[in-house]
Amino acid sequence: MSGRYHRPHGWAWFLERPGYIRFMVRELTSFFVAGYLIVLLVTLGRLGGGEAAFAEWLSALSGPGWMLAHVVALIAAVWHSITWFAVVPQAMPVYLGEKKLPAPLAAVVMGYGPWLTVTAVIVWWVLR
Amino acid sequence: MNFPVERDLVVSLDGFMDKLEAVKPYIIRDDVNDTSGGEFLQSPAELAQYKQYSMCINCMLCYAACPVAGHEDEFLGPAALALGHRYNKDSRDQGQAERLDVMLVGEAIWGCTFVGECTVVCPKHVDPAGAIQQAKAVGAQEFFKRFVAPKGAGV
Repeated sequence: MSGRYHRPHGWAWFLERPGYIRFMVRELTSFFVAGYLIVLLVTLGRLGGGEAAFAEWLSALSGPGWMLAHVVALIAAVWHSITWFAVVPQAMPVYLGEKKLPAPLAAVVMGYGPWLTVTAVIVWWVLR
Repeated sequence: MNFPVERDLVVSLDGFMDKLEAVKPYIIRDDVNDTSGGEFLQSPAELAQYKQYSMCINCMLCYAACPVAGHEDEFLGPAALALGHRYNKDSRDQGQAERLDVMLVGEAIWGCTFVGECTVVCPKHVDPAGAIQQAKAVGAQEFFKRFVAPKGAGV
């Protein structure tokens, strides 16, 4: 944009508004999701490496450090999911004729509903 | 914030006006001047698809609230993109391809990271952030369509 004076943006721009901080927290939770995916891939790799390798990996994972890492990753992943489901009604509005489905209901229909359904199917499949 | 200062409380609006014009915020169709068929009718349901995005009063609060608008010059910004989306969603309009040619270039729309503050500050409840995400979804579909059947392939 033209003009004479451009107000400078410092590195701490995200501290200027609470909304910016919430945005940064939402974005940073994706690192924990990615980190957990890497752990899952390593687990699959160890599974391919035979029973002994897998058992050794599992016992390593049950150490306090890994447990703490998993709890942190779980909290980050849940927060990541909640924040994205909250904006689903904006990105994918559902129209019923002239009326837009109210945001909380749309979040359930488009986000929480399918999420809980898939989770229930996986839990049933694992526990059957 | 984000607008260059000319003097005291006066900011330069040139860039904003250029971006607003760039998205072709008007009905585009071949027979736009042909009145022989009467009005171009629209149902209440078709109106509802874009009405919210047509309420913009160009107050530019969304540009002031958007961290991307201040960092990325190529980014068209919340109001302009919401207005472009408003015409793309208008059942009387046929200009989506022309607008997407502008919106899908570089950071024009993809600069948006869905911070969402534009929607928070909007006094007319336009929800520019929502409009931009919907336009991105259309753009992503268009990207693959153009990949499969490039322009001029007669599809």
